[in-house]
Amino acid sequence: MIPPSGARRPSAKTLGRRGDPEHGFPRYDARRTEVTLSGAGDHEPTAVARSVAAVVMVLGGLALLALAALDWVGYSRFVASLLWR
Amino acid sequence: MLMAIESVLEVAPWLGAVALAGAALAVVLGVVAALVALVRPTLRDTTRRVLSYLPAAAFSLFAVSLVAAVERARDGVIEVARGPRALPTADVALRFALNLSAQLEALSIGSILASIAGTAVVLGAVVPWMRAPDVRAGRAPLLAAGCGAVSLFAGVSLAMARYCSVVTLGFGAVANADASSRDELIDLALAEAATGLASARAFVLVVAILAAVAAIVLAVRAARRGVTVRAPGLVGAALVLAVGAAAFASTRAMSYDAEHPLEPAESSWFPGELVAPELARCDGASFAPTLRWVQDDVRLDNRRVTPEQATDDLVTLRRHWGVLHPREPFEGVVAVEADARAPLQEIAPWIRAAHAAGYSELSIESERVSERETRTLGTLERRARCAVSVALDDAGAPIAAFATWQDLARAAGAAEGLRLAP
Repeated sequence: MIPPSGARRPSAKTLGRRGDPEHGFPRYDARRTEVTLSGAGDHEPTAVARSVAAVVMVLGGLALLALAALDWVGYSRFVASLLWR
Repeated sequence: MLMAIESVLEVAPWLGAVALAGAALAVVLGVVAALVALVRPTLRDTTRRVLSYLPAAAFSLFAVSLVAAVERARDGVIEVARGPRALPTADVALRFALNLSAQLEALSIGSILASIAGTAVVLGAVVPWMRAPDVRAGRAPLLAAGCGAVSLFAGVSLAMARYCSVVTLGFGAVANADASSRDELIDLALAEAATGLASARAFVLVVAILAAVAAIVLAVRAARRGVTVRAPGLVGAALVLAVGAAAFASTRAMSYDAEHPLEPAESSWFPGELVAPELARCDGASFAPTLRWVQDDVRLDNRRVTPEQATDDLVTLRRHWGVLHPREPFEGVVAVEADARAPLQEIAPWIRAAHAAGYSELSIESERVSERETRTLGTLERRARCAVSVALDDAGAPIAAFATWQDLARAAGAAEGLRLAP
């Protein structure tokens, strides 16, 4: 969000109290132990495992997709063998 | 059959044009998305999403059109190859080979475009997210995964391009080659191309493992700083894995068949309107002028002839053989394709004509039908050429001893070296 001309940017203190979700600074909530992208501590093993699982799943999925694409192209070998044999 | 050929020739260029437009659009949108994100780091969430998804949508258009064009070309080939008869003439087979090779050439260019467009799309998707302040802290795993994705994409695209260009080059040579060396050339081209694909598979595995290791290390470090993946991200990742696994599973049958292409066998060109004689064995094939006997329409090498014309033409062919193959002995074989039920007396005038022209052997042409299991096309009926020889010799059995063409074929199959007195 672009502040209107002349508007003052809220101070860090104000931001800490009410947050600035538009720019990715969520409101601080001491009770919240879930993940926050602002860096509020999430050191739980499950959260780490979740990150690792996501990375592995994305790259695994892409690798499987790449292998499938190669096999799809390679099928031309069989199709060509139909022509003369 | 002609419909199949025409539909392939008509549909493929349209799909190719759509694919080209999609690729160009993906490149432009990807670059624009990346540039906008670089110039304007603080973007609204909606804008960021639109910038990320638009190039990917254009790329999907490109990929789907390209896949459809190649699939259509393949379907045409499969339709013709599985038709009621084998391909009618070598010309049609050649035309199809050239058509398939043109499609692969398009795929080859398309793959190079894909590597450029894919990179632009990944850039367009990753840069807006990386530039967002809330993601900055955790951008390292994203960057590692993005680099891995780009490497995978570029590697696969270039491998595809190489495969297609090798096959296309091979097929180009096939078009100008002698019919007898076609099989060998196709084998060479496809084997060479398959080797390239095997290296590409190894590349994919290595890149995926390296990228995964780097991304895991970085993700763990980011998580310790409090930047982790939330539930929607996890669902998205699971979705990518599911799509990859589904694509991989759906190509297993293709992969198996590609590893087990049809073995070299002589295709049968036996005319569909005739009943092929049953032969107890098959002799080695030899190159010979072919006399096709259909009642009221007898053709020598596809030219309609009377017995007298057949003698003249066979004499001419014999002379040509001596000029064209000075170092090879003249075998004096005439291949005869006739209906199994035809009375031998009706074919006799042409047998005598061959004998009068100096030919000493008849090759009774037939075909052997066998079945071959495939995983993508089910059971294929294969027709291979089969023939037995009969020597033309005045001291042989008289023509009157055999009522039909099938009787002669049966006797020739049962006893090697059968002689027939014309």
